[in-house]
Parts: sequence; C-alpha cells; structure tokens
Amino acid sequence: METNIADNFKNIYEDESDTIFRFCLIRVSNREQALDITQETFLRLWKNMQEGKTILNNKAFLFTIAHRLIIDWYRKKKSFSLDKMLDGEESSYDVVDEKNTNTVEIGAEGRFLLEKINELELTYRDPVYLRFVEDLSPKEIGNILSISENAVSVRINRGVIELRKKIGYIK
Amino acid sequence: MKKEDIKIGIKEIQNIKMNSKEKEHILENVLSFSYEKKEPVKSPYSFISIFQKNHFIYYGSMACLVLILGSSGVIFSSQKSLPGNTLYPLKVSVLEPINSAFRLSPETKAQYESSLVKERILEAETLSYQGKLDVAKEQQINDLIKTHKVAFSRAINEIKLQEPTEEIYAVATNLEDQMAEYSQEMMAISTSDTENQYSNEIAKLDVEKIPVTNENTENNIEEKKGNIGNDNSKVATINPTVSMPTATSTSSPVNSNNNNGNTQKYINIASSTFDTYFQKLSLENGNTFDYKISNIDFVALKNTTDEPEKYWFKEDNTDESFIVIVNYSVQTNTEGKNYWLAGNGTEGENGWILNKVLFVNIDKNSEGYYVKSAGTGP
Repeated sequence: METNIADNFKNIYEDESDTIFRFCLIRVSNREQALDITQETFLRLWKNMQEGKTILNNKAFLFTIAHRLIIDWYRKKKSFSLDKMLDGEESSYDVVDEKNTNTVEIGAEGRFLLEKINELELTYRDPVYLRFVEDLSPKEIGNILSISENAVSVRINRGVIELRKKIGYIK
Repeated sequence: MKKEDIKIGIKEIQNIKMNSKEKEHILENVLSFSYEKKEPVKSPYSFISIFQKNHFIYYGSMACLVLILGSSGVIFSSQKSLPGNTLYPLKVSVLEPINSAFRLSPETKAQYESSLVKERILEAETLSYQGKLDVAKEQQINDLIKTHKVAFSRAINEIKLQEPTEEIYAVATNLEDQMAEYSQEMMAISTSDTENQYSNEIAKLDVEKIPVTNENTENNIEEKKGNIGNDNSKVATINPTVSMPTATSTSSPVNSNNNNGNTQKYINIASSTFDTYFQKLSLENGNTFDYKISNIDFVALKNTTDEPEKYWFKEDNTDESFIVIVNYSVQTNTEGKNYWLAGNGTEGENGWILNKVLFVNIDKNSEGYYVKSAGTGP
C-alpha cells in the first residue's frame, strides 16, 4: 500500500513537477523561491495521498496549491517590505526581473512572450498563461482560480485579444 | 510577431524546467517526510467537556451540588439552633420527626424520644442561662415536650404489648423514670407561674402514666409466675378488663382486689384443674399440641355471691363451686384451627391461637375439684 502510494506519487511528480516549477518561476521570478514553492506544493500532495484522500484531478490540485502558495508568498513579501519601508530602511523589494534569473534558460522569443504575458492585466494573465503555455482546459483553469468555466473562457478571449495587440500579432 | 514565433515562444517557455539535481532533491525531500497520523491525546480533564457540551448536565449537577452543600450546612447548623432561631423549626419539625420515623423498634424510638426531651430541657437551660427564656419560648418547648411524651408513651405501650419479658419491662421502666426526672428538671427551670403550669401538666402526665404501667407489669409477671410457674415467655398478655365481654370482675363483690387470700387459693385450684381438663381435651381433640395460660381471673364463689352472679351457677352446683375466666393460647394445626378459632381468639404465628377467653365453672366432688362446664359465657 505504502509503495503503491509512493509509486503513484513519483509518476505524478515526474509528469507535473516541471510544469509547477515553471508556473512558480514565472510568477515569483526567483529560482530558489520557485523551487521552494514547488517542493511545498508536492509535499501537500504527498500528505493528502498518505492520508488516503482521493484527488480527482492531480494537475488542477497541484496548480491550485501552487497558486495559493504564490499568493501567500506575495503577501508575506509585501508586508515584509512595507515594514522595512516604514522603518525608513532601504527597500529590499525585489523588482520582477526575468533577465536576472531566466536569461540562461529561455530564448528570445520565449522571454518576449513571457514579458508580454506578464504585462497583461492580472485577471487575464493567469488564464492566458495556463491555457496557452500549460494547455489546461477552461474547466481546470476555473478550478484553479476558483472561477466559473464561462468566466475563464471570457477572460482567455479578452486576454488573447489584448496580448495580440501587445505583441503585434501578424497572421 | 508571427504565429510561428509565438509557437516558438511557447515552446521556449515550456522548456523552462528544473535540472535533474533539483528535481531529485525535491522528490527526496518530499518522500522523506513521513506523515504519521497522530492519535489525539485524551485530556485528563475530558470530563469537564461533558459539562461544556451538555448544558442540562452542567446546570443540573451544579444545582444538585449547591443543594447538597447548602442543605448539609443548613442541617448541620440547625442542629445547634435554639428556640427563636431561624433554623429551629427545621430541626424540630423536619429533622427530628424524620429521625424518629427511622427508629423502627419501639425501644429505640422510646429512647430517642426521651433523648429529645432531654435536649429540649438543655435548650431551655441554655436559654434561661442566656436570659432569653420568655413565656413564648417556654411554651414552645413545653408543647414539643408534650409531643415527645405522647410518642414516648405510644412506644412504651407498644413494647408492653409485644413480648412482656422482664428485661423489656426493665428498659421501659428505666425510660419512664428518666422521663419523670426530666419533667422535674423542667419544673426547676421554669420560673414564672404560667411556666410552672405547663411543667406541672407534664409532670402530671408522668405521674398518671408511669405507676399504672409499672403496676400492670408487676402484676402480669407475678401472675404468670404463679400460674404457669416455669414458662413466662411467648405468652400473649391479655388485659382481662379490656377483653372481657361483660363487666364481671369489676362489678362482682368477690374479686381479686378485695379477697386476696381466697382469690389466690381459687386461682391456684383453677390453674391445676384447668390443666387436667385441658390435657384431657387435647387428647380427645388430637389436633392440639400445646397451650399456655396467660391469666386467670377469679369471678365468683357460689356461696358468697349475690345477684346477679348467683344465677350463673346451676342448682346442682355445690357451694364450693366457683367461676373463673381463663385467658389462654393454644397451638394447633390447620385441621384444629377452625375448632379453636370458634368463639374467640386470634390467629398468631406457628399455629398459635392467641387471646382465647373461657368462662370456667369449677366444682368439687368426692375426688376433688373438676371443671364442671366451660364456655365463652357464664
């Protein structure tokens, strides 16, 4: 039983770990932090599996956790920075800068696209990213972002239109 | 940006991956975390949570606790209360009657009631020492003493009705003496005239009762000794003046009170004659195992009696003929029960028919005294 769970977990890890890491890295722009969040995400899955809880959609589950952990990380980071600022010390706020962290691994086209996606409004950014980069269905995206499938579709459409404008899309 | 470029861009983004080292490291970290399902530790104070969960239990038990603690304190403090105190009525009209009711045997009941009288006296003494004894309080105490004495005499009477052994009479007499003493003490405490009046009443109550009962006791014991001689236990006492159907012994000119010497003689004769008569009767009857004479009362002698007892004797009676009333008990079985229960008598334990009364006419012939006739009436 124990080995079954472990094997099952290893399979899921093999399939999804890169996706989750990518999702985290793009959002937090810090490799170490992204690794940390990825580990925490899989740890949560592992716990749930050991407790014998049934998970209907592993991918959606992992994305949901990662999404929430990222939100938590942002909150922590913000409060920390504000405190520092209030104290009148030098701000340690990390300006999102993919160049610092991702230059080695990402090509020109990819970096450009990512920049443009990051420039999108927050409501469009995640649906567009998850739909086109991670290839999730609107339903899965809805689960992750806790919104309805229809809302996801609408956001994707509008996000895509906006993205096309930004990148100067030519058919 | 062209569509192809976008596809390339997406591909490039998708190529962002962990390196194998990082990947392995995370997997190792996650798998090394063994999740143990911990059993919750039961709190040693978990019983408290019962109260927290159920408010009925909580309030109910609290109410009980308050009631028990409160009432035990009240009961305890009421024990020391004196007339005029708030708790005194609780003591005398609730606690003491309950205590008395739990004393089941008449001996303990009589003892308890006499101890209560003593306590009332102590209370009166305390009050008079404190200078708080007034008419109202003394009256209250006296009323209570009266109540105790009524209960006491009831218990004493019960003792005497039960089994008149000498020990029990001794106990009863002791208690009665004690009671008389208390009454005297009470009289001494009382100072005012009105108070004396109450105390005198109580004292009277004792004077009337105690000697009478003592006399009865002695008489009964003596008679038993005289008549039966060897067996004075398990005999039902019957007061002849109570159980007699007609007023004979009191109205008769010849009775046990004013003709002592002769009466005793006739009673002795009657006792032995009746013995013989009864033994004969037992043999004939076949269902009679034992009998006990509890009392013999002399009624009349033919040659000395006047109207109306004269007509109780038949013409063929000699002048020596006399009539006695015999109180006796018979032990029989189920076959003999109906025979012996006819006329009078009550059914007791072990086949005994108690409280039987017989008018016996004893006459004399050349062989001596014999039972000429016996019946439920003269």
